[in-house]
Amino acid sequence: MSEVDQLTIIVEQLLAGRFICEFSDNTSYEYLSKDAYRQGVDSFLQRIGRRLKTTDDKSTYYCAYASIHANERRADVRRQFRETINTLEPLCRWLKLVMSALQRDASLQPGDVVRHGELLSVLEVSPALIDDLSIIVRSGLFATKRDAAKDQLNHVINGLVEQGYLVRHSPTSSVYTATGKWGYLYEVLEFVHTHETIADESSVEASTEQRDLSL
Amino acid sequence: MNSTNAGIKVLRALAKHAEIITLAYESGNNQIPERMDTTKAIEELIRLRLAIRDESHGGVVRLNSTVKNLMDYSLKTIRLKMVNVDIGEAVDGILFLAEAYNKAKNAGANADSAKYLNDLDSNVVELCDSLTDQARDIWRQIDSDFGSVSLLSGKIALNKNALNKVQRILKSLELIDLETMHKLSSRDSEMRKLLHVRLPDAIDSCRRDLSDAIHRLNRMMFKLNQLAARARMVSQMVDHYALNPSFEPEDYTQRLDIPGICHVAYPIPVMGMVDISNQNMEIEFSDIIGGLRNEPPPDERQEFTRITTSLDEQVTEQLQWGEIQEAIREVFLACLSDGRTISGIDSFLLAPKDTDLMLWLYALITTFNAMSEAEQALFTLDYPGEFDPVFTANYHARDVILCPA
Repeated sequence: MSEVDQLTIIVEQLLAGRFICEFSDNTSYEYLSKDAYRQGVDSFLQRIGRRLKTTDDKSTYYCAYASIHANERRADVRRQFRETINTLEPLCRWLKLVMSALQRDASLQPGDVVRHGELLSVLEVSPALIDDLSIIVRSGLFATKRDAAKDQLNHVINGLVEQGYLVRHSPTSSVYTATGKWGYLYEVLEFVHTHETIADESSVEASTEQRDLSL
Repeated sequence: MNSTNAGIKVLRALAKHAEIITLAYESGNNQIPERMDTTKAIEELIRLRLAIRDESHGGVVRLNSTVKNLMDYSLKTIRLKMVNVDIGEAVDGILFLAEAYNKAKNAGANADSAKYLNDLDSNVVELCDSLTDQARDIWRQIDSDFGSVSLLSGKIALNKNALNKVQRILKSLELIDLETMHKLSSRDSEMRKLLHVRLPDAIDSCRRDLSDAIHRLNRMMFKLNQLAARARMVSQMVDHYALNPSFEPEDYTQRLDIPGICHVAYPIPVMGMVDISNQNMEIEFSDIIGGLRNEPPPDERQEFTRITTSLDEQVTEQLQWGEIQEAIREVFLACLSDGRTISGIDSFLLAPKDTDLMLWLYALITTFNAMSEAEQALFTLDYPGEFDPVFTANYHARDVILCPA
């Protein structure tokens, strides 16, 4: 593939709102890892009021506005931020569900492998996790009217693939890899967590209980 | 290979090369002479870490201290063994031996001084090996990413433990009094080799390895702490949403100075048309087709009458010429037989009753056009007339003239 073709693909992907990392598109990621090529993409985007941005750990590239002074830009930024915020709850619930199902104390990270079969087999024997899943699909990003846990799980995983959070290993595979878009989500979470002063509810509850007991 | 097989392999190698190992042990300096017949054995012993190539000592091959200790223990060898897990104690032992060697040498007790020097050599080598092994152990843990445990909390605990261990060893290295060793060994070339060169080199190498290890462990710890913080944050957010169902973060885009995290560009649809020859779109196309099939077909009762497909009897039907066709045929025949030009309008007299003139003329033209090439070669059709003065692409024919070719 020629350099121009690769640049075209990358710019189109970025403008379409995709996040490029080594797991979602390794060819494009390698291309952007080279300074000269990265600067080429960035200067192209700057000509249309955008720029190339990376997550804090430099592992994922995405397209951001170069300037947001115009009212129209502000409206776009607002619309995009609203969409991201609306996905926070279902995505956090999904991360928690995966942690509980796979008995991990680390949440899903870019590069982690998710096996549909493994999750389903745990869900089938855990009513509590099925309840958690049904909350995720009740409304919002993953809303569906399907009742069966298997269908709901399929629906959520397909939604995550569509949103760019997971990539399927092959068209027929039920094994997925988490992409760098989770990295961006964690940055948003961290931002919200810091600015909204979200307390550790479990410790608050525990301390309240303790106080009640001492009284 | 599992650990049982690996263990058996090591013990078999010890048995296989028992003679070489024992000779090296009994030589006093633990060195294995390199000859044609020992090359393969040496390679295997080095690979299994039963022997090491001592680059700081001219590249000679010698037994690993662990093997030597095993032999000491099994043969109940009496040796002034000073090396301890505690580096400080080991160094004290080395200083003691160095002083004892100097005293024996000065007193002219050659047998004693040789014995002390031999023990000093062994202890220095063991301390160097011990330092190298400890650094290697740390790096082995790092390289496996503390693979023995899967839980994040376990990895963090192991990382902390490794960091503490590294710092402890580094502190111990700082306590080694190289200056005193230099003084003690300055007058003896054998001791200088050990205490001026070999031990300081081993200490430097160990310090370098451990400094790199600290750097790597700190990075790993940062990453592990970040993972733990993320997991905690996710749990706290879920709890927060559960307790405050109407929770909605502030709209940070309303601020005068919009935070950088909100600068993500709104997607632009960049593709306007479907490229049906693009193989990468195959899945999407398949989905679309699959989706179409999900629509149930309308429930229409299809009523039909069976028809027979058997061909019992073939009846040849003779098509009859129509009146106009017959008349047109007569005109063409007359043209051919008389060899004269016939006007379409003039020949209209032959047309059947109630036939329109235009229909007659068109019948002439279409009959000519329907002829085979051989038949058409006998006639020509001419259309006298003129072009429209305004719409010059239009041609107004006044008549259709049939001429013999």
